[in-house]
Amino acid sequence: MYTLKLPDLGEGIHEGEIVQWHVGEGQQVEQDAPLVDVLTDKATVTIPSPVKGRLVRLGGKPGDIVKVGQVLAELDTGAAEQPAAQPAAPPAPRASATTPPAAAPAPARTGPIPAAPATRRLARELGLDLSQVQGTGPGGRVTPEDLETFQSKEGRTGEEFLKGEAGGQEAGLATGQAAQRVTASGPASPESNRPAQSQPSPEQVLAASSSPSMNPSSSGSFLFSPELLPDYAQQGPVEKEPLRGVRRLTARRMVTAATLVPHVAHFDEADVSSLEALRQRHKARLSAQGGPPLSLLPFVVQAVTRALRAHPKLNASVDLGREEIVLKKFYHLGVAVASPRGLVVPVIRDAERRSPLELAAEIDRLARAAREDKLEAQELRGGTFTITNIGPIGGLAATPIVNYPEVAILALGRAQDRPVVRDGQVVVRRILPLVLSFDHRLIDGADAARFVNAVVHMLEEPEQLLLGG
Amino acid sequence: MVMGSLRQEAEIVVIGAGPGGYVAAIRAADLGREVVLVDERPQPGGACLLEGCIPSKALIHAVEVASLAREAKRIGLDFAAPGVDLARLRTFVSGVVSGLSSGVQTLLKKRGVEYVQGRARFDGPHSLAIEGAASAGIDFRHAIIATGSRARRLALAGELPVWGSAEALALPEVPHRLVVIGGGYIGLELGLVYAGLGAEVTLVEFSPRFLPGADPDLVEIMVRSASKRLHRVLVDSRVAGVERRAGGYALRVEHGGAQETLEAEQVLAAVGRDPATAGLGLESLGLAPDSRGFLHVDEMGRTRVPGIWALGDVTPGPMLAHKASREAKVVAEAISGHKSAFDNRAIPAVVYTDPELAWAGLTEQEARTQGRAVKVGAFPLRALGRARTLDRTDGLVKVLADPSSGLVLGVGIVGPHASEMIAEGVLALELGATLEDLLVTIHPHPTLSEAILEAAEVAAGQAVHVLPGASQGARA
Ligand SMILES: Cc1cc2nc3c(=O)[nH]c(=O)nc-3n(C[C@H](O)[C@H](O)[C@H](O)COP(=O)(O)OP(=O)(O)OC[C@H]3O[C@@H](n4cnc5c(N)ncnc54)[C@H](O)[C@@H]3O)c2cc1C
Repeated sequence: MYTLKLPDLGEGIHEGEIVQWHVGEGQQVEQDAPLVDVLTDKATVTIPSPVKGRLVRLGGKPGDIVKVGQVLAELDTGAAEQPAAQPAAPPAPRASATTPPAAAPAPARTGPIPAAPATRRLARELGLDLSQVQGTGPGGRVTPEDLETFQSKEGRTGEEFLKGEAGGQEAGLATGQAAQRVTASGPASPESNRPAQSQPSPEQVLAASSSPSMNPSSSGSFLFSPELLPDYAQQGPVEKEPLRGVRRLTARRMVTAATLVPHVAHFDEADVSSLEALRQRHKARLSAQGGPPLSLLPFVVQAVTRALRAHPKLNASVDLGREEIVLKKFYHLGVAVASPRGLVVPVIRDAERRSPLELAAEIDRLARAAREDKLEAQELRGGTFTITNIGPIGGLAATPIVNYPEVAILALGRAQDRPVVRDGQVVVRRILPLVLSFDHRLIDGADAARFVNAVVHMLEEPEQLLLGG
Repeated sequence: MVMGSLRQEAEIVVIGAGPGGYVAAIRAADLGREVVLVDERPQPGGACLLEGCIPSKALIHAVEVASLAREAKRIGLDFAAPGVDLARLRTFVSGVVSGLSSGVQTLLKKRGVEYVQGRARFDGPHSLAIEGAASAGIDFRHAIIATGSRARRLALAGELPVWGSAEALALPEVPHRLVVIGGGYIGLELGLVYAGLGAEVTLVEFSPRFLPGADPDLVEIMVRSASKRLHRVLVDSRVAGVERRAGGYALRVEHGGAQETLEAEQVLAAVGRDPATAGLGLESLGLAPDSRGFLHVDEMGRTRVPGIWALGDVTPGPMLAHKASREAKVVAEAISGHKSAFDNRAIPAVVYTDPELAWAGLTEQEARTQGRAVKVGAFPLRALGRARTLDRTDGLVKVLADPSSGLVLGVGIVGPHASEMIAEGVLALELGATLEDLLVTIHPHPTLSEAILEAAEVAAGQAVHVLPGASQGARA
């Protein structure tokens, strides 16, 4: 039997959502043949089968979340059972919840995980699997602090606990249902046990509601709101759908960015009349030659990249854990685009090495791939600054949330002809509103103003932009 | 409602008032549950309190005092040979038992736990019929099965009135000659009691060695001492027949190819205990015990049937009172919605022989069969100050640890008060303590408990009180 666990996919990815299985339960799969698609924070990854064998157990169904290290699949390789990596545990009177299942290639530990009874109880209450926790105490003993560290790192929910619980509770509960199941499987359930009082006593309700899985705020996951929502179904008809996929990832990352980063927005506008004239002059010719559509965006990318080189702080990240500022010497510009699954931010790598025309071609390619849901994980990684172009849809301006851990994001409003005063005359000019949201931990208002000035200046003087002056 | 009978309702009904059942009842009541406790006996306490742990230990104490008096000669004290007044001894033992049992009764009453005397039998998924009680039946939401175990009868003896442990503990007489069949801890303990009271005791054990769960080197020290008090010890021997003779019994015993006949005024069969699950009406719950009669439960004590829980001797594992009591707390907490689980790392085993034998966690022989490398530190009591002052040097303490992490994996003790000393080892195992934790803990001097410290030092290769290269050094 081969147990496949969700591998570490790098870049701090610690979980994935199962999108689809290429192989059904009970079916045969060749080594390296696609097994399952997993959607991570960054992209959909196809995980190939590491062995040839028959898929005997799926670690989840589409929509289920699997953590790194959690079992994704079990494959029967037909080979004789691998010799256990360790001698069998001493004949315990009963299986203990903390003993890793025999099938899982256990960590190089023998016997039960050392931890004091109080720590074990805490782990149970938090729904943590001790065998997953790195013990820092003497002899590898797991301490209460280790549980804390583990929990904050993993953002665990009570979900796995319920799944792993012995005693025949159904596995694979969705998080939202988990809480209800606690009471249903518990003693106070009216339907599981017939007579006497049919209502749970207040203490039972209390006991259940104070249990951690009833209280999502203690789960450490950013997805949970600190309070349970009111039951809207009491007020009128509602429809519920699971929070999944890109929406779920976006929700989580926005909460991270919005709660962690002190945001400030800086407003400005650029007179892009000359640039617009230049664009109009070349647009038709380019598309006639089969070139990419020429929007303002490639010019903005070019201007921003130049400005970033002059203002390195805006291309940096703050690493509070190590108390370091990471100044990136590469310029991978993210451009927010719509995809069928929601907003995604493909990244133009090494933007500083590309001409506006090359940038236009790359933006076109990425936007197309996004629309067709064909972006590679690689194309969604490593961005250092993001541009979001809401102008074409509408609106004067917007104050975006930075694409954490980047420290700044530029929103483009809608470029339109507006009356402005030039040399004492009211004239009509094409004006592009710009809003830079930035991370005030690293960037001050003056830095932002200077950076935006540079961008504006280049957009207003296209010759300079194109000739690199 | 049937005429003249009274049906009751209970949130939790506990069947069996032993150290499993009564503890579950008290804990559940403390957690706010409404509890009814049913037992066929008039008073609570179960096998342990009424005819097991408690009376046997009271008798063992009496015998130990007599033996001390006899052996005091060696240290310059002369006592007359101790005489035994059986009537007063019985009064002492029954006084201990009834005192403790009425104490439990008070505890139950104070918590509002209702005690129903009668024999319980399930007659539906949520109802119990009670025989021999004012209550005709109980409708419950949760039932905890804690009916314990019953002494296995010696089939060979048929209807002959040979003793079981309960009869022996009632102390009807001290036979001139007693044959004890079964060298488990109950046979050993009761055999030594009767030997101490003056009987000529022959112990017959079927397997080649006693207490196969314990390490042989520890058992050997105990058996060597015990053998001096017993008339004969026969291992690898099978009782092939039991017959009534004038004034007693004749037993046919096969040993290897040979046969011999043992004569005795009384026979004590201590041939094991079976879980008390028969006659409980489990079929009306759709619950079947395994082939040996045990009810299997998960780590919360749940059987496969919702609302039906089990603990103590009816569940697999060692049949010991402290296991039952710990499980009882887990079940009461789990029923009350707490995340409790029986995840204990060690259930200590104690044999109240003289010297006592106790062990917990991994044994050396288990490590060997598992092919697991362990560090073993052994320390003989003969090298210990306190043991010398007690004139008791027949003992050994052994600590097993993981060679790389130093985690304590097991502790084995033979010697006086091993039953008390083992608790430190159990705590170490539960806490995930390392040898170093034991080493740096100051043990009071002079005490027997220092032997644990010394053994840990030997295991860690830091022994102060062992000569380098001595036979009891650390073995890897
Ligand atoms: C001689 C002897 C010495 C022992 N010494 C020790 C020792 O030193 N240390 C130790 O840890 N253990 C010792 N034990 C073992 C210990 O007694 C048991 O492990 C312990 O009593 C188990 O507790 P329990 O609650 O599971 O069941 P029990 O104590 O057996 O209690 C079960 C109760 O259920 C009642 N009951 C059964 N069926 C029904 C029914 N259908 N309806 C109503 N009531 C019912 C019985 O009357 C009994 O009171 C000894 C046992 C014996 C026999």
